[in-house]
Amino acid sequence: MKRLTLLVLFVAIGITSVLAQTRKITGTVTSEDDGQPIPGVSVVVKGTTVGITTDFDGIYTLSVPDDAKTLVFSFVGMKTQEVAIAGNSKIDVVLLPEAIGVDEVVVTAMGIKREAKALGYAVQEVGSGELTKGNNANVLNSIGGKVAGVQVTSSSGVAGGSSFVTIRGAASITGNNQPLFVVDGIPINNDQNYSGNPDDGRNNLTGSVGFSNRAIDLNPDDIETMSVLKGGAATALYGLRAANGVIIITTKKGKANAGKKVDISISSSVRIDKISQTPGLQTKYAQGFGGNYAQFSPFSWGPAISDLEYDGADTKWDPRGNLVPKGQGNGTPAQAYDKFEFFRTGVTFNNSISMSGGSKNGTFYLSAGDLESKGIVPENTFKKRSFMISGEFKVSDSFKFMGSANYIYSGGTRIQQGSNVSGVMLGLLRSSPSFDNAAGYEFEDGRQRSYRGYTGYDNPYWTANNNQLKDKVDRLIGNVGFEWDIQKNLKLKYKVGVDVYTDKRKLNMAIHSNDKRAGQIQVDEHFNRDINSDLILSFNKDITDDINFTALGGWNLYESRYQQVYVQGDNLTIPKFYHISNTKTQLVRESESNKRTAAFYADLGVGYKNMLFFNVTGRNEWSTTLPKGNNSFFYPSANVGFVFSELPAFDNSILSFGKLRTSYSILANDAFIYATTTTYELPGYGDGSTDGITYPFNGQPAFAVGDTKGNGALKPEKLKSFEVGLDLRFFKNRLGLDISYYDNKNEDLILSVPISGTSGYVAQVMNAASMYNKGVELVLSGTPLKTKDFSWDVNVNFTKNKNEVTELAEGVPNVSLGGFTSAQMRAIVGKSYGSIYGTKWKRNDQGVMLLDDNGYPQRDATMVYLGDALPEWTMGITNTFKYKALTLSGLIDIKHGGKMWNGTKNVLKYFGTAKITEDRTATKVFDGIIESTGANNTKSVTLDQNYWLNIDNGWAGVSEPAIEDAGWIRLREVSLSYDLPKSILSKIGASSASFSITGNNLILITDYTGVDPETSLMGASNAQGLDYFNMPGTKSVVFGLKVNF
Amino acid sequence: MKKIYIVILVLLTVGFTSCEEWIDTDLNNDPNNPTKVPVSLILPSAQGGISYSAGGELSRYTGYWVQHINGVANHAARHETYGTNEADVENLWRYYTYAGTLMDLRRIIDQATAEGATHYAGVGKVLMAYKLGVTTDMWGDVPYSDAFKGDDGNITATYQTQEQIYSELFGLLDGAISDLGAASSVSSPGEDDLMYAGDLDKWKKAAYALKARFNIHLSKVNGDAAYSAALSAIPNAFSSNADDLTFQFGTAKAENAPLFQYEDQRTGYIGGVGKYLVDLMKNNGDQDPRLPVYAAPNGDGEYVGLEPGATSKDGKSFIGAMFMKADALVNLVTYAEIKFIEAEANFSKSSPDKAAAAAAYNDAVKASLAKYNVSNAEWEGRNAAETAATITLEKIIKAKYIATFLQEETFSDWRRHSSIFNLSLATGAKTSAIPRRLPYPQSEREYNNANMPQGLTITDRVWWDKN
Repeated sequence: MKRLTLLVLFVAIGITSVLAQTRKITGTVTSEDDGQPIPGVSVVVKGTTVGITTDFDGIYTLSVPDDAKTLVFSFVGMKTQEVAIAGNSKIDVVLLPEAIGVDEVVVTAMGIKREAKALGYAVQEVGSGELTKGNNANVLNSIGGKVAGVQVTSSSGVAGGSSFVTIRGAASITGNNQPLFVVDGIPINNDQNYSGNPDDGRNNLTGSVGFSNRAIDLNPDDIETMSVLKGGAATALYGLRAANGVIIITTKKGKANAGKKVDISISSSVRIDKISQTPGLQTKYAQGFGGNYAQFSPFSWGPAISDLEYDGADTKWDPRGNLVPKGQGNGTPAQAYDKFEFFRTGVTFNNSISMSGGSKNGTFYLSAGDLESKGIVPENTFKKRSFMISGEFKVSDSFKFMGSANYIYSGGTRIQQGSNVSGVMLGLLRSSPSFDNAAGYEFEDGRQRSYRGYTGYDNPYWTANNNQLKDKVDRLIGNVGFEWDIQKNLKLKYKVGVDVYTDKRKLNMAIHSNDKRAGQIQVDEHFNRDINSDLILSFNKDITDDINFTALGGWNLYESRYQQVYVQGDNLTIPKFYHISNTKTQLVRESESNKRTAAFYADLGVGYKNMLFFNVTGRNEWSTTLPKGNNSFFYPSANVGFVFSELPAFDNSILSFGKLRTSYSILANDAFIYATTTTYELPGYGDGSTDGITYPFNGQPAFAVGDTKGNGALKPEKLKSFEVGLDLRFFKNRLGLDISYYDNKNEDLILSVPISGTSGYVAQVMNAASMYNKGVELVLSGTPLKTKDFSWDVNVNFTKNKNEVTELAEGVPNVSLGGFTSAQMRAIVGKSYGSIYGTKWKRNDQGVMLLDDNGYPQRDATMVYLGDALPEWTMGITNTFKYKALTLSGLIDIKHGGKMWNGTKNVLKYFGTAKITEDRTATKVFDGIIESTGANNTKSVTLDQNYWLNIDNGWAGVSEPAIEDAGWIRLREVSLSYDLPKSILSKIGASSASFSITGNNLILITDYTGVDPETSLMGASNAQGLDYFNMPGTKSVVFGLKVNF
Repeated sequence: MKKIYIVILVLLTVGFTSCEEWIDTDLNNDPNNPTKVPVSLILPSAQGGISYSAGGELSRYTGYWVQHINGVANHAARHETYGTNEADVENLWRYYTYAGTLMDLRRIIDQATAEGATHYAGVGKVLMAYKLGVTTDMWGDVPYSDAFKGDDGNITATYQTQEQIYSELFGLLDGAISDLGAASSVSSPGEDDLMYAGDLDKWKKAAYALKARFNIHLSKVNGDAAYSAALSAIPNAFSSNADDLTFQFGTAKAENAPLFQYEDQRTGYIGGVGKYLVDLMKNNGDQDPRLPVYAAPNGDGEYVGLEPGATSKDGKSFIGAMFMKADALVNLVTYAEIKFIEAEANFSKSSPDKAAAAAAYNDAVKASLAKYNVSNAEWEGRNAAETAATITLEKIIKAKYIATFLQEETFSDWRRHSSIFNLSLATGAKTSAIPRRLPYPQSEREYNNANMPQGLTITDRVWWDKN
């Protein structure tokens, strides 16, 4: 895959040539391997960017400046060759194969470019082509399945939805578990900010709208590479925020171009989305109870739909009239309406243009991107506009300034979801099949038409139209800096950057909405500003012919400030006039969180003969979030790379390249903000079911003793990580295998340890928990077939991660990460992080079900471990076939294991709308013993209304039946692209152009019975594995066009 | 060029020297929450917390079980059929009782005592006794003297027997009476007191009222001593409805009453009023004037209660508007309750004073009608005109059951007099009997298991609920 992405890059870069020069050189490039010509070889005049790529017959023709002396021929997988021009006008070259990736340069910590072979740890890159193919608004969705060790979960298929990323598992109990994102050296914010009254006593993550995580603001078209640093040794230089890995994003830059030509690149795509898998619903029985039809009943335990018909009466509840028994009406038969017709076809247009170029004095890159998305849920939209300028200016040969500014506007219209009586799926799936949600949602008097009359749940059309949240993000990510070559070997670099955004949101809830009957307005404004400054002095010298020495010292300052102001107005007077002045009561909240860190860091490296590489790093960091006097901490790392195939005696005939690498590191992490003191807090009193009361009450302000006891003796968290890897290339690099094994131990993890309320607190901040992640990552790449016109490349990545929480705190067996009273995600000692916790059927010590006297299973109210949400292993298989100008590639993504709580189905059983309730005469003899007698059960019970309503559902029953396997095999991406031939290109004046058609998630094979199991109720949060009326996922087709001039 | 280098050198020098300052800041001092507050700001918090739970979860759970009201849908239907489990009481115990109201009250008492704000300490002790009393009545053995010590590193409080807790309650009330009578206090409650607006005499009466309540709770274990102790407290307790310990919720969204919020946000979970209550209030055709206050008529203009365990509210009476409105009043301890205690104690003591019992009964019923503005001399002439010859314990207890509508106190009365009520088990009951306590919460099982009493089910009795 890396070959492919680099190829794309080379094509893009190479094409920037052309000039009115004096001399033409032509020739053919062939492979020593098979004697065949090689298309796409980059031919560049040394020391310039003047160059071109060979055509499909391996032929190039290049105009070179008079003073050109040497041509450089390079191609991925081949040894780069320099050939003196020496007055020749025809230069044919035979390239020798090189180990794949051996001379590959990758971006590592602090943006330092290093040869992959010199690294003692694993780094994997994703190139721009891979990031834009699927036209995902959220660039994170484009790396899913493509990088070993990386797990990406998109929350749902709604426009603007969030995605959650982890690298090599979770490293924190209740803190952040997502990697650090660094764009051009500046860490950027990837928070998912929530809206809703901060103190309403309800968990506003489980029911609200789908918010974005802020990495969505990045324009994938601006990204040159994404480099994924996985292990501790790879990220050690970044310090305390790097415990979860680092994703380094390098944006595209202008290239110095002797011809003073401006390169223009245009890309345009349209993406069509449709809902993918939907939860199974019964279509046989009408609304009602006990077999009788009942209008407005919450249930669908009514008569068979086929036994009903409409009477044509004039009723506002249905244009067809009332439902009556067959024979009593006008003959218009009752029907089961297709609930999912509610969803529409989503369309996303993505257009982006960039201009770049440069001269010997400097370079520039300018881009504008526009993404406009219409989601699958009516009224749901997401928009993103991005403008970027970057460049550098050489003051002298040894000094240059550089800078970049990226302004982004993003936002959209978001629709209610999840555990929320105004949530779309809640009203949609609970409504009876005999009720047509589409036959109007609002009466003339402003009240709503829903299947339960004026109460219950919102008609999904009502909530989509009347309860929208709109957000507007204005964001600027920018940096300025300089590079100074003090001496030949000594370089000073400085860069200061800022990431600042405001996120302004407004939620309007119409009067008569079931969640807020009197209407509500929420005005919610978030402000975030991160500043980062890095000064780096680096030294590089070949001490002898065989020994190279590098040294780097750096100084980092970082500050993060966040502020939120929330205004809520309740009780509207004028319907649908959404201004705070139109509300009877208001509530205002504000919050702030600030932190700073400072650090010194160093990296020393020695290389011997391109064979043995050794590196040590150290970083000392200070953080304001730790107690004063105890806020300084040091962490070291060391890594070794040994290219044993460089040993003089090594036989390269089968194994062409071999490297062994190993590393060890200790990373630290600071405490969360304001964890060191115990405070009083604004009180709020409710219960799990209501918003409750808060203060000022009747004009009286109040404070209560805070729930969490702070800790003035906190120390930093520690992550000790060990990694060993083997990189092998066989058969002149036709086959490559890269294996990594890692063992990460987290100690002294800081968390709010839940404690007995009788202490006066519900939690106490402590350095208490430990856990580990052990895993294997395997990347297999090969070229099974390669002829002149045809090639077949395979890339397989495999990840197996085992996580176990080994300790939480004394006497604390588990802590909650989020969820509901009947099913939650928890960290449980002895289990993996993110386990599902809930209620089970009653069993004896031998695990035999204890049934009641009638033979029904019984609820055991004690909550226990129910399953592991983490997959056992994941695998991504990419096949790429190329025939002349055609490229076909497909990514098969396999997730094996990992459970999901299907809370949706567990509740739909109660209402009688779940597919499983369709057969109402089915019988079952439960396997178990009658508890009162101890006798083996032989009683047959009918799985009828009584069973689903009173015994087996999410409310009366237990969570156990809702735990389902959420593994999958999916065709995540399949893409066909065609590069236009030169003959056409020359007519339109383009240097290259390609058409592509890409399908996302076209095939999904899963045992999960709900929506697409790649889903997360609480979005980009640690509580993954919950499905409670989640919005469905999508499958899509993307048509794309890219032209370079 | 040189100029640039000079600028860089200057910047670096300035930068390095300010590094210390960059970190050595008060940036980690929480700007959102204070570290010290006066007791006058904690008191309204404790009062709101007590009242929201009393009118919310406690009222609903016990209301279903004593058949004042019915839960017909979703989790309410589960509580209706006694499926209440350890997760259901998690918030109530942890956030709203121990780490909530009780911790706030502990802080008020300690801080006020240390500062010499004796009157605040007195109010704090009355409320502590009230809330601790409710807590032990619901759960039995609970922590108190070893609780609230998280600041000292004790995060697993030991439990005291209910008998010991009761002696703590009386100690708190004696302390409160003494504190409230103190001649001087550095500061005294005023408008910040959301219950009595700083009226210390009423607080003192409330202390005596609670003495009466807690003593009558011990009727099955202490017998005569319980009755005489209750009777000796009553003269100093409430003397009219105006003395009632109540909490007024408001129309502003953040001040809405708990039952209103529940119906507004969980519409349809509650089905309406219980059949037992409605039938009792129909009073063999001589309808109690409070029935139209407690219940709303059904579509046919009739009052029809729900059978326990009913799953449909169709054609049934919902709870009356006075209890369902946004600015409803939540009753904690009332004058009527005290009068019923007086009636019961006089009736049941070993040397009964039935005339006194009848008089207290009549006062109690009239007070209750007056409270709901439905005084009716005619009806009272027939139903609140008991004499020594006609008064019975059943009349007293059932009339109290009506007067304490939606108060968790009814659950204590039912437990002391189950045989008088003879409530039928809910259809679809998940236990073989009506619960007699709440389960201990999940967090106690998980984080304080060594101290938590083991092996109890919700049908087991608390100490004073002797069989």
